[in-house]
Amino acid sequence: MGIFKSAYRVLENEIYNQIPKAGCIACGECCVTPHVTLIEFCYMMDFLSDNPDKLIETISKVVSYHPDYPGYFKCRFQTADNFCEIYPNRPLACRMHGHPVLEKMGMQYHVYCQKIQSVEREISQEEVYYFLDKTNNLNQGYYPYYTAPYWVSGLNIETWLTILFTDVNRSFFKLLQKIIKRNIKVSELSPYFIQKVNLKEKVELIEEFQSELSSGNYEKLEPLLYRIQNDFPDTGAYYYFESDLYRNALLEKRA
Amino acid sequence: MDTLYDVNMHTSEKNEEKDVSIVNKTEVSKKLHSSTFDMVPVLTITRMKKVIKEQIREQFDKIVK
Repeated sequence: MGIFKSAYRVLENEIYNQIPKAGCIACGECCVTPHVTLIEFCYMMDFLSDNPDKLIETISKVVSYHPDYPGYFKCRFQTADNFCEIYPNRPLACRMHGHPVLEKMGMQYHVYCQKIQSVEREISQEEVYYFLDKTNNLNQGYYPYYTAPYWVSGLNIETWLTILFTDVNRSFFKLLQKIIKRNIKVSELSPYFIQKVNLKEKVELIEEFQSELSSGNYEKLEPLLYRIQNDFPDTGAYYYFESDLYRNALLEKRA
Repeated sequence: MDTLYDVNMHTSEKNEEKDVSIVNKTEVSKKLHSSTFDMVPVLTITRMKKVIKEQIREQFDKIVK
């Protein structure tokens, strides 16, 4: 039995079911790979756990890049007729898509889908933070959540799959892999996953950055931050904003 | 379970302005990370900025001069 069983109930009852529906017409144009937390990722995959053939089909898919998000993949759970394979278990980010409040919170692009006619109920910024906090708090008890040096909170689906099916060869990511495997049945499926993202290379760069930082080699840090932010778009927003905070800290140090 | 967040962050007008600015600044430099589908990392970092900055400060303080 997966250790997340009770967490899934909280996800369903206290978060997902509380989010008003948006009138999506399933045009499929917006379905870029979403960023989700660890428990959400397991919950999504759990939907396919009783259907091994479908699970293999989904894992082995080679997805194309999304035309509107350079370097980002389309969502691998999107079906050929633009529906969602795991719709009942879709994550927070997908449930929030189309809600006007997100524009006020600084995420303008694609938030206002022109095809969504209306939302069931407009939600407030406080409600968004409630859903986010509740989701993140669920994850905090299971791994070194959002701490240096790796700062893992939400990752995109392709990055989670890469952690699950490849060897990033770091104890932290091995721990994440172990947790996922305790919650979803994926033994012997790794040969089917062929489209890994460049997470290992990014992690190596993060470690190089951390090493130079520890040595006080400030002049080497900015180029490393630039590469971390720009060389691995397939890994999504991972370490992007954290790099900005390091950059700001460096500027303060120099001032 | 205790939260890592500064739970009052979004209720403070001053801090709210700062939170939005971090997102807007990034949007200027790059469109990539600014869709609904990025909302977990984008909004989480605005919520946890205080915690992260503290950890980064501790890292800098440990650096041998």
